[in-house]
Amino acid sequence: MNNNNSNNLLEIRDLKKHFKLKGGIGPQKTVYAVDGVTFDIKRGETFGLVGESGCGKTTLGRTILRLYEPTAGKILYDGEPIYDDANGKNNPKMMSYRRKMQIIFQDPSASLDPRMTVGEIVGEALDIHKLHQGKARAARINELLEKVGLNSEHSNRYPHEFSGGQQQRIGIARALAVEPEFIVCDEPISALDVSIQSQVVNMLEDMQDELGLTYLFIAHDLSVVRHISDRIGVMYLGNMVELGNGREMYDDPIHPYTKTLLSAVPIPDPQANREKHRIILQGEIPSPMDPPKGCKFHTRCPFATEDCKTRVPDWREIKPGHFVACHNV
Amino acid sequence: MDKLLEIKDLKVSFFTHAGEVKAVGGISYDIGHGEIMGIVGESGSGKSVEAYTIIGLLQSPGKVVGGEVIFEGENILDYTPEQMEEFRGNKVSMIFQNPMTCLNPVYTIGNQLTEALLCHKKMEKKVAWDKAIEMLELVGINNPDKRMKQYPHELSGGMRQRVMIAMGLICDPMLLIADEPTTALDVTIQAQILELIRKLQKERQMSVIFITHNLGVVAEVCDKVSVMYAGKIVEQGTVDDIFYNPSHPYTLGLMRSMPRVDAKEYERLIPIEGNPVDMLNPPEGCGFGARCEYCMNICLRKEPPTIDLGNGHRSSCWLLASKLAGEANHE
Repeated sequence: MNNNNSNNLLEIRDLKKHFKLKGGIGPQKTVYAVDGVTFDIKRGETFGLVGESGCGKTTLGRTILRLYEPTAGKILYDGEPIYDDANGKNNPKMMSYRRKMQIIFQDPSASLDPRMTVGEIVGEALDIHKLHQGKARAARINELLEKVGLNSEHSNRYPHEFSGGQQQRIGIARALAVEPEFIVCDEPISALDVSIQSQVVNMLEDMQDELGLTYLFIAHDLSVVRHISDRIGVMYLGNMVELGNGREMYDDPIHPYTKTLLSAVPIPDPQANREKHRIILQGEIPSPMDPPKGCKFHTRCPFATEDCKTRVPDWREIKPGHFVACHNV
Repeated sequence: MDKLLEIKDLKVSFFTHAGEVKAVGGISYDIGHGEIMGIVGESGSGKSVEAYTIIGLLQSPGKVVGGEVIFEGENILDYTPEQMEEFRGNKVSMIFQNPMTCLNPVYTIGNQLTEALLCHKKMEKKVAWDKAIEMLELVGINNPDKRMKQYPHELSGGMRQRVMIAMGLICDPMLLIADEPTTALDVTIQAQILELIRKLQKERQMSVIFITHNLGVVAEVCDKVSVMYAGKIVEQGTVDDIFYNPSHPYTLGLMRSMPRVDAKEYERLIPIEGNPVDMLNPPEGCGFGARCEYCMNICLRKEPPTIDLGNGHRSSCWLLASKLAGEANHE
């Protein structure tokens, strides 16, 4: 089935998603949520995506799945274009790709229909893709629920009868129902209690080992992303600023934004905190409606030069597999 | 260090139609002048309820059913509403988690900031206005003159949280209660706010109760920590005691279940199994018993005693009780 020779499951080329705002007085405004992102996701890996809120990480995740229609760029799945703005945007086989790509949402209580039982929620995905019927369908639902640590009796209950952690397990069961290869995990644990977070993280890791899944793991919690990811991309205002092997990037970040982001994470170790030198970033993330010219980070960057204010930095591979967009490296 | 606030066996219950919920089931701690106390716990552990009680904002159907809250020698639970009003804002103030819902959208920042001064300090309007501008400068807001005339929606999240802090500090309180002040913020903004709180606390020798579920934040700002579970403090002590020498299985579990950004190697997380307690039907005995890997028979029947481990380090667990008893027998 792998008809291209690389081990890239997804190839994203210069992907853009701009939202045009409706209404209001004056010229129409555009939010440049994702503004030209290029990267690959390898088969079987967990690709972590981090950044501050409003940097476009969630939009990127959803655009890759085409839950948002991209504005421009190219998405290849397993070598096949599922979106290509150059020749014929629509892939007629999109429905079959939808079965391979699933998503787990941030807020489990908001992403489960309160009027459907758990069995119906998980079964709906099977019906849409005409996967199992009759007895086989019920058996499959039970199998999925057991896989995520619930039991078959739960299939007749409604989402509100479950705790947050259990609701997220239902969301995971729904995503797994159609036997996907690729899952976008959009902040899957942020809404959960601390003691439950690690249960879900471990479960996601087990599922990956068992089913050979590929994850795009989006989160703002840098410790969790480091823990779960093989490679990590850092986003700032719609662009990726650094991409590299997780461990390598955390130990030796290159882009000034990655450095400040990592130094801002509080460590649960009082002694280490007292000794740690923290770079406190001034100001806040500018509006994506009116992003700064040149390097978008120059307004907050402690090392910004004149060049940074005018020229957009190139996306360069400075070490094998380690990409950075910065003039000063 | 003398004590500013002493809480003795405080019990708060909510009387709902489904029954009594013992949100806070008898907690005790004290805070000295200029100390930062961290309160850690999951949602529903009672950490916010306890804070609301101190500042007298507990709402029906919540009721204090026992205990004392002693602030500078006076039990504030005996205060009349007038005394409480005098106390609140002047001596104790609070910063809330979500600045958007806590600022009034139809009043300007200036209006909301000066309100506290006009009402508590009976200041002249002009004086109050200048003082408010000074406060905004102190919390690091640029262009305070302009900001004073703006409405909350015109500010960003981090800026709103700064306004909340300015509002909390404007009457020079002796105790500041910060209820998850950085949870809704990004790490970069969180670092700015934490630094600000620490700086202001040092300058003013203010005491702070810092409520959070993030152990990293606790390690960074707090002097002492109380870990809450199911309405009880299961362990308390200095940050160093709690982080380097945790003695309660829940504290230990929390530490082990958290991925660390400074981890050297990949290590699989060790989660705390099970689900948080249902406070409507709390278990008998130790609240954490059902999830505890060291659970013994007695844990499910009787509430554990609080064991003093020295230097203010206290822990409520039968494991320690039996260990101490064992040691005593040996001697």
